[in-house]
Amino acid sequence: MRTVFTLLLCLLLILPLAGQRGAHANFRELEQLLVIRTMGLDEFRGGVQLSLASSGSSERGPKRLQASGTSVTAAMDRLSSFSYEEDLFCAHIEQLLIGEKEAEAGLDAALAYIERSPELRLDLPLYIIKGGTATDAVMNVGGGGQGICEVMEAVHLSLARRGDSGETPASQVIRDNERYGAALICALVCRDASETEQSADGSGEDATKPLAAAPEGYAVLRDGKLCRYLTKEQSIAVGFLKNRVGVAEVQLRDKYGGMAVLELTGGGSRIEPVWTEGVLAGLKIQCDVRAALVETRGSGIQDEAYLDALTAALEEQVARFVTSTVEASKALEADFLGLAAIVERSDPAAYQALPQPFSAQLPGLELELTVSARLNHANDRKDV
Amino acid sequence: MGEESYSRTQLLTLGTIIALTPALRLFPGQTAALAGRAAWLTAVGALPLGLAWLFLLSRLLRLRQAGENLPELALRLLGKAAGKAVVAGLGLWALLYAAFVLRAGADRLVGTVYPHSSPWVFALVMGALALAGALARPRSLVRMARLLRPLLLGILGVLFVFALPGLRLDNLWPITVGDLLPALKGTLPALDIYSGAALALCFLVGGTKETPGGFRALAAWVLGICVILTALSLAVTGSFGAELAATLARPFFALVRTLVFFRTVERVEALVVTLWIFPDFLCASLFLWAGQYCLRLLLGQNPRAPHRDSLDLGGGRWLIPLCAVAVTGLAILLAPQPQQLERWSRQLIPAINLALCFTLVPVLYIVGRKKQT
Repeated sequence: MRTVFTLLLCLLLILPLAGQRGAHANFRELEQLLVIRTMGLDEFRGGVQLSLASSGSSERGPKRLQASGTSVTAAMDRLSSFSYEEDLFCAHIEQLLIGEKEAEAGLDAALAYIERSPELRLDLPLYIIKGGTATDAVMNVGGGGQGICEVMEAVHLSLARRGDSGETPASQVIRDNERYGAALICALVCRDASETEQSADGSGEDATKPLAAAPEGYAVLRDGKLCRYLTKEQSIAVGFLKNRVGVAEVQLRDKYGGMAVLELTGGGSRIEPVWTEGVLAGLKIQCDVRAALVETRGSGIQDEAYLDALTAALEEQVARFVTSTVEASKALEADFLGLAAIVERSDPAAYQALPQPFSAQLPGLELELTVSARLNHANDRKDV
Repeated sequence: MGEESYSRTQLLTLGTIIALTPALRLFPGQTAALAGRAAWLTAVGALPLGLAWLFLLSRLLRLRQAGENLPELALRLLGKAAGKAVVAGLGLWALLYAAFVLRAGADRLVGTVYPHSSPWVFALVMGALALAGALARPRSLVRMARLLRPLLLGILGVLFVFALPGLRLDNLWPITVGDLLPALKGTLPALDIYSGAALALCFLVGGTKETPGGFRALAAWVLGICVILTALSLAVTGSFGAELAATLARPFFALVRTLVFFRTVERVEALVVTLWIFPDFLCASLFLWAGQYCLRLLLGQNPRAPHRDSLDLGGGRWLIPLCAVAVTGLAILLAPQPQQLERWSRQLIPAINLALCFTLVPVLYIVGRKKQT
């Protein structure tokens, strides 16, 4: 038996290294690997435009590749053929960027590809390029030896704390789409980076005009297709309604008419369905907001009354955000907030007995909203 | 049998390891498809019937005579004609199951780690290893299971801990009255795992030192399996949601692919998939051994007769390599299409398993009791 055990251990080592054709196909020369970290997907004449990018290094900039084909696999094959000097290694793809047109046409095929692929991870974050193409983002974002991968590292860190957008793993999108018929995906905008740099250093126009990418709220997916984008304010409200509030700034007018900037630091919501004689009549939402005063442009005295007025203005503002988001969900008949789960949890039997799917009931629901805000601190200045 | 003897606990350890093969193949995905969000409750839901069946099995095992395994018991209780028919059926089922284990294991390696490969190579290599396992004394399989248990359960435990942060309550809750019927359907895979593994151990039960029966030991063992299955289901359904888990062929390994350890180590799925060769090896070896045991019994040989060494083919042991060739050949030819394999995995094999467990054991027990009185 010892021999069998030894044989088995040997097999564990041998199979990945040598032997039959298929197993051998997994063998890669490390020096020849091109580690792909970002994948872009666009609709292209009824097929697919695939773009891939690796990280940049101190010696060379990032490698960017693009090819079209009737399918992702066909495009990948073309890329492999044209990059014969390097072996494309896709097991460490960290994000998938999807062009707006591709998203409008429907993401079912792309999501199924992720599910099937032995290389891609199911928790791969997805991004939709708002008003642009993924190819543009992959091929042109970055500059100075850095590419989309380095920019997306910064985006990833930023999304971990900000409250007006959030990372959306493919598994969550698939699940939400299946369960609620709608899902949210982080929206990304690509803009001319020289605009920002120019205004910052005052230098002349950059000849290469590299692009910069930044998150901008959420894209709403209904039945697997992109149907609209949420504004920044609506995206902030998503954080409250899903109890994942991140840092976001809100600008308000203070009681003297000057501008005050508040930073949302926490909070959440409690959502209760309102049942009237077994019929779902509406939703009662209680929001709790915590914020910090970070900037004021007013000249008045910043006493307790001033802060109370500011708190009231914040409550009003957040109520507007939340109402706008829920109204968007109602108008689209798309439960991208996952409200169905909350209704189901409150009364599973009544939920099961709903005459129509929850999303179809959304437009008829009454909204009862209360917001209570609290200013936690005003940073390092005594305002009272 | 003195040399062949092992304790009941050791034998049950082998049961735990061989249960891991169908557990990862069937459990998270199929229960999610059948029971939806309530999938994580199905292992517990299967316990009452599973325990009742194990109780019956323990009573049946009390009817054994010293050194008897299930085939001899069936032969003695049912008489020559019916007994031989049952033993032949058991033998064929064992060989078919061994072939299926080889085929399913090969498919798992192809689908997760070697996408450009063919299953026949893996079936062939595992078939050769299963032959070596079946040629050895059964005590070796039991010992190997004892060596593997801490490794495999330890790895499962670590994976579960790292999967915990990704669990979402709304993937697991609420469980409503409407979920009860699907949850009941979802208990079938768990029941199949409990009963299949226990019945497989009955081919080796003659080598145990303890007195026959032992319902308490069986109950404790099945509770352990239940905990493993529940943890698996919680991790997979809680991370992906039942909707997604049900669409994946191997959701557990898909989950492993997403895990990151201490922000430095990731993509360990190849290692975990390859480790599952061990339960496959034990399972295939045990069923190959059981198949040849039944056939030798039918041919009038004494399959319990001592042999010199592993390569001693006397006393009908020449059937072992013959059966191994047949099993490997069958594994290569079995279910060439993925849909066919899926049907074998989710319908045919569990159906045969359950039918065999829930007819053979009660029938043997009733006949045995009647003969006693």
